[in-house]
Amino acid sequence: MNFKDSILSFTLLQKICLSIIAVYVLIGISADFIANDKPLYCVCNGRSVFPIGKSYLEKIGLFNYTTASDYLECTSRIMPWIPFHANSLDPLSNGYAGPWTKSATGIHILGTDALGKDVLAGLIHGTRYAFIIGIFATLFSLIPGVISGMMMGYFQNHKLRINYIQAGAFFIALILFFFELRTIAFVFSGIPFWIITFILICTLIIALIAIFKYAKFNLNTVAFPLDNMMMRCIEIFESFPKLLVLMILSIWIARPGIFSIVILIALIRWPLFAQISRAETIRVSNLNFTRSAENIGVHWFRILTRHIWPNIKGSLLVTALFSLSTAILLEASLSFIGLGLKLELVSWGSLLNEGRQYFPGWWLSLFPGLTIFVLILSVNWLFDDKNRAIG
Amino acid sequence: MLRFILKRLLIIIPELFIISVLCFFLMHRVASRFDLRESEYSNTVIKSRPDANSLSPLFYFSIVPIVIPDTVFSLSDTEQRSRIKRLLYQGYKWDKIKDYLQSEIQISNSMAENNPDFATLLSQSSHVTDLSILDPLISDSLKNTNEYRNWKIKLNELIKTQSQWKVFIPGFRFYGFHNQYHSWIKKFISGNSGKSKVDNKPVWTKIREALNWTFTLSFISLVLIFVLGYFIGEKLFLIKNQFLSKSMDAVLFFFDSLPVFFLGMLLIYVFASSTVSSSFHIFPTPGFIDIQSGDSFLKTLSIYFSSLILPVICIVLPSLAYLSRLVTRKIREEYKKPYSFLSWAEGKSDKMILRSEIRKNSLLPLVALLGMEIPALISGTILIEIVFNIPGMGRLTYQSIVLQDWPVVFSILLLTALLTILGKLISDVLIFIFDHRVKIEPR
Repeated sequence: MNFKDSILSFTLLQKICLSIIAVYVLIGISADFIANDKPLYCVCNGRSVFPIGKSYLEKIGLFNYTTASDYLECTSRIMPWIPFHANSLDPLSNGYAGPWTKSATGIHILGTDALGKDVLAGLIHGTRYAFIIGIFATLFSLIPGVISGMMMGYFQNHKLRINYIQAGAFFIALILFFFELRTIAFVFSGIPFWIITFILICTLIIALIAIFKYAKFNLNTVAFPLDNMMMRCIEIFESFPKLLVLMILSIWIARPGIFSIVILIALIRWPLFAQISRAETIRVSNLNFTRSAENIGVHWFRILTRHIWPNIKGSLLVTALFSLSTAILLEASLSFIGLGLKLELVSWGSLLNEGRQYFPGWWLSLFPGLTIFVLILSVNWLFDDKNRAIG
Repeated sequence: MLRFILKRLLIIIPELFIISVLCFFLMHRVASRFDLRESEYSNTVIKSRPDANSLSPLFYFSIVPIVIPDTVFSLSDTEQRSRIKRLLYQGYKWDKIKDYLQSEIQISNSMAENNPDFATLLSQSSHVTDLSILDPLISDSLKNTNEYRNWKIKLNELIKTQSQWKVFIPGFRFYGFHNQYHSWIKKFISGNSGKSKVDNKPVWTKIREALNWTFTLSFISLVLIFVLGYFIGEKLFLIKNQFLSKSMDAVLFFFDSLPVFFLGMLLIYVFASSTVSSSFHIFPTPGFIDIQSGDSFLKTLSIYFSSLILPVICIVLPSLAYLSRLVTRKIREEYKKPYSFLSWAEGKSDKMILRSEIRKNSLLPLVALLGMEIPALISGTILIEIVFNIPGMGRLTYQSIVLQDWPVVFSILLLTALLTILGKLISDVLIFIFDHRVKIEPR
């Protein structure tokens, strides 16, 4: 059943949920045009200008950087629906103004925080961060998780046979990888760490392929317990409480940016995908068509990509959608306790954190909480029991 | 039985070792990073002399470049040590570096009166090629002295012997039991893992005080989750009305998607404060638990429980969906098997089959879940305890992380990891006792 058919067979509730998610995505994409302190259109010195559209070009570097105050004198201004940016401070209504507070430029529909930042603008701009974090954290945990999970599920403990030279070379390659990573990072401290890591990981993969492919030498082979080894690693990984590890790592890199927090969440979440894709791969590789392909002598890579992957990708897609909401929730709970994103990035969690610090300001906890809740609820209600994987 | 437990233990022991090593290295990284940051911020440079323990090697063995000698790491002056380390990693030979440093001390001594900047510049320059820019600083009168000539010769010798590639060759080094990890884990096992950096209390006392609250909280909620989850799961199986069971599902997932901190804040606003209405203010305001020493046992108990009801609701409600789903799925699976079919053919109703046949078998996945539930509960209670201001493990961890009290943080991390592994062992053994079909070795 393809994607189009599955949408057509949705019930009314599922269709509503899907459209709610679509609205969230649209708000995230067009956040700048909904909530901004610059006008959408204005006439400056007899020339018509589109300041918000222009701000994208300013980011690339085509124009000089402008602020909202540059457009104050312009005539026939058309403002966005919410005339505040997530970071713009309103001096007239600072100090926790409640919902529907009138200000000089407009109405704070959902109130403001201590510095006079508009809550609704923060929610709208936070949608973008939430989706970036959710999508990329899921993607970065999906890729290593699925690769390792499929390898574990397919090779298990007996299919991969290696000789002693290969085992020794594998061991030495792993040790050399970590040693060179440390040494190169220390010697060439000018190069960013992730570039060094990326290059070395590529080298390691090429070396491992070379070891397993060419160092055969017609020697006696033993079974390589890939599944057991990886499962022990995952067991160790899973034994640490996730939020606690996330808190420690987050304070270690001190107010992470979006990219760092994506990497952290992906680091925490990949064992889940490894476990699910392993279980699915074991299920599919015991079916007849995979077995017969194996017996004909089809290469394992082709079996994994052509026989197994098409049969497991459906349930992985569903799990990935659930993981998206979980990643957003993780970031929100991290920001909620004040260990999350940088202070200048207003996210749903950081608004909730302000609500925690100022108890009478109920609007600071209620509306961001509802925003997260509605998103997760619509993801949860979107799929019924038969589509749901464990997660 | 005994063989099974022994086999599990054999797997667990290296796992525990790796967990403690990971914990230790994470602690070392985080703590050293924060020491560095503090020394950057503080204007007054206080060179605290590191104790003997922090100079000993980190682990039983290490893999470092062969060109780096052991003696470097036992230098007590941290700045000097990091400078020599940097020189070594640029590929200079150790004996030449020693000679050069001696000549450097001589020249800076003789320069100290008329050119104090020179000495500091000299000791700060990390790259040897940087040193050539120092040449114009030296006055002509000094260029004729012996010290200068000596320094210049030694510098040239140093530069000549550079061989960068040797740094990339690993060398294995064994240190024995005299290392930081060994002493740390020995302290942890003997129950004396140092003192808190914040209030100088022993770490274990702090953890034990906090553990009382967390244990009560998680025990109550664990029992409630399992009992309620099981019975809701049975109900979901027994209800034949499609609409009713679907709406029950929807309600369960409604609670599942409530973020715990949001639910907690909502409950506090409604039931533990007068924000909404003073008539709903039933429970005590969080954070104000005052138990006087003269209070009777019953009153103490009631104060404890009245402050725990909302947090327990907060933990239990979101976890019910997953568990009841699991139970329903398992019951449906068992219902299709021949033995249930036989009971059905005997004329038993679904309820009777459930009670007499299926219940025992459907409890099995719950036992398996017990081991997985412990880390999830600890993660969950962190947020709950912060929201409700309960002085338990979660809040202690949060406060210790914010105050950078690393001995407490990493003792808790290691302790929870150990508890999780033990929980898994116990649940495995329980499954083995209840169900002898479980294979010891899958292949």
